[in-house]
Amino acid sequence: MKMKRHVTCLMKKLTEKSHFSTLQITRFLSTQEAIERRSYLFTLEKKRQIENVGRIEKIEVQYKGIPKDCTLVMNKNISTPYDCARHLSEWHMESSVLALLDGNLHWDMHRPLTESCTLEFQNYKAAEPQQVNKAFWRTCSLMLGACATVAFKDTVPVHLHSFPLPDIRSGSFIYDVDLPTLSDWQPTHQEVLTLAAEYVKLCRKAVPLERLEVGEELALEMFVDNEHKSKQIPNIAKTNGKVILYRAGNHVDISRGPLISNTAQIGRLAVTAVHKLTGPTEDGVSQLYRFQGVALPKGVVLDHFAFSILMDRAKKLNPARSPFLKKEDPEINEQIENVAAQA
Amino acid sequence: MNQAEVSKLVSKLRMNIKPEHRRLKNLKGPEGRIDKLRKTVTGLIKFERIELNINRGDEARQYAERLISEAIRHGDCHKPTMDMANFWLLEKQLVHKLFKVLVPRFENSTVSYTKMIKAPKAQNTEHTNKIVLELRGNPYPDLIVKQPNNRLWIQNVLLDAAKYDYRQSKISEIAANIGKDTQLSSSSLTANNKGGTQKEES
Amino acid sequence: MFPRFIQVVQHLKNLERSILLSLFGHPPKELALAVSVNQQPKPTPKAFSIHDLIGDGFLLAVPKFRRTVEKRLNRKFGWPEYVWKPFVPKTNLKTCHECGHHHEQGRLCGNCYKKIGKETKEIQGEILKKLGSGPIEQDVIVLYEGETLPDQQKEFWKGKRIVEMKKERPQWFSKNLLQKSTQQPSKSTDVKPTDLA
Repeated sequence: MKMKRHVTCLMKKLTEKSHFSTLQITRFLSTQEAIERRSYLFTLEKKRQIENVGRIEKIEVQYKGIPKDCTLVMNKNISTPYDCARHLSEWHMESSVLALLDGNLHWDMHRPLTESCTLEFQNYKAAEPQQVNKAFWRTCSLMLGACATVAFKDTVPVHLHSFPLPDIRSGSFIYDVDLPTLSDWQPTHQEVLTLAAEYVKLCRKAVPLERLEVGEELALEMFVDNEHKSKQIPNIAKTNGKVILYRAGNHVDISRGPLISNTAQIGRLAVTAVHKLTGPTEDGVSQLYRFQGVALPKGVVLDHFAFSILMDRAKKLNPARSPFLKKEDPEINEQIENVAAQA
Repeated sequence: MNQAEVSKLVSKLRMNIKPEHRRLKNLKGPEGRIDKLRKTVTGLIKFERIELNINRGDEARQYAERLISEAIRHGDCHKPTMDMANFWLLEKQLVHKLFKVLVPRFENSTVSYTKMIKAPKAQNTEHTNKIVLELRGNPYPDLIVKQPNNRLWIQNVLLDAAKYDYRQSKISEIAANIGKDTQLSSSSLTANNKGGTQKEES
Repeated sequence: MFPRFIQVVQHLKNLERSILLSLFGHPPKELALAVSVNQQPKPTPKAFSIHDLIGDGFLLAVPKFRRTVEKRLNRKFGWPEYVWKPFVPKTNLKTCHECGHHHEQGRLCGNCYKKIGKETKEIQGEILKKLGSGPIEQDVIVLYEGETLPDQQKEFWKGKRIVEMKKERPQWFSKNLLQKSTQQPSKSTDVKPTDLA
């Protein structure tokens, strides 16, 4: 209750466009409170944006694909590709991962359409699934962050740091997390299994991944409890002053997108390892934990032996760019480039 | 146990056969059943794809398979096989087809000669169970279009990467071993030499 | 009080009548009407017959006994193993990846099968027409309009018979579905068909 009042007050301040740097906001929110606060701010901002649309204009969306091509008349800045799928069939709703606009632009399923266009749906079995795969891998990373925040007790503060660009050939998706109270944690097999169980629980909630573009100020406000993210935000918003946020359930995170439509589309998965990364204290952090996992889309049937190979591979430390690593180290950069070239 | 090997008496069909034959309700009894099946087998060889009720289709399939199998095994100069073909194929032009078209087609086949696929149920027909029976290698469009395996699917990308990783590790292992081997062999050589010299000395 | 009074009146009436009768007797016979005297015998009650009832009307059959509750429920809902009358949602439906129609799992898609069946019938008709009634000694190859024979060794063509369809090959009837369809189909006839039946 107290939190809500706090937030509404904050929103008022924001709408008045006053400088809220003077506002002394507590940095002592517990993890759970911070998550709820962020989600609530997300809801308010989304509502505000929808209300801002004003007079509803119509756009023509030309759908291409099975069962037959057709034209849908949708609402500008309100209707999403998912809404178009709802006009078609349940199968379209459940299996579509990304929308392809005008044959070249990959669009989130839950992102409002802005103008008339042609629309195709892509699933994991598309002829050219590279973008779909990347979106899947990115979503898995994002959900791994959500899993990490949920999995620990209240006494262990969890500060999410970041996740790198999706690289499927590296064999695992990763999330770098700062656990300030755990200086030397080596998870047991049981703990890793518990993390995986948390992950599965999150995915089985089958929540859509909502997308929202917010201004830098609001983004900073949402991530006020997370010093890493608040340091990254000005960097991200450098180009156009906007930060792209995604929400799955309660969890809000920064990602460039696009992401898949629903967490239910993540099928078989395993959290495989947690590695400790250490490095120079440039950002004020000396160590991070790299959470790693591997997952397959729903509906992909893979032999348990083949999956065990993938799991074994995902246990190795992922060579993706560590936040500590700057461009000075040419050798590892080269390795990364190699991996990227293969992907 | 002077029993002949069963597999040498009859060829093994590449399909499941029920322990008991179906009776195929008929007024004329067993004779009528065989008549029914003869018609179906003839139709199958003639048209190469027919739609039937499951009971009749599955039963006729066994006879058609057996017929083709015997024809492949014995050829057209074998009297019993020819009699059998004559009996089962009501239209005599199909006897030629059996020996001159189907035998070459299926000579090197490693799977069954016929295919049975369940046909869609028509609306409001709960109990009719139709199937499509066809000869393999027919000139008609495929009934089941198999989705081709795509190398870009995520599971294939992951497995490919794992394979690449494994090979790289193996190669590096071998490369590391080569150096060691030469070292080992050279050391053993020197040891042998030493032994030799010792022997010579002794 | 009142009933008693009526009783008394009744008694008086009876008395008056008996006195009058004893004094004057019945009215004289001469005054009576002249009618034949032979009296009809009393009609004996007839034995009951079903025909009396049926006659012009009709009779309804009615249940003699009440149906048990088990029987009534069975008639209403059927029996799960045999005929179950209530609607049950089907859970074995799949979406065809070719055409988007629904079909039962493990069965062909109805829409695709209709399409394929039609084409099959046409080809069968053409083949029968071509082969006639003579002995069938050659395998059949189906070519559509605008298709030429693919390059193959001569042995491949030995003992094959070509049946030509008088129309263009349907778009879906092709074995190399792996190829991208983004390329515009060219009209030139010298392009070899990438596959044959």
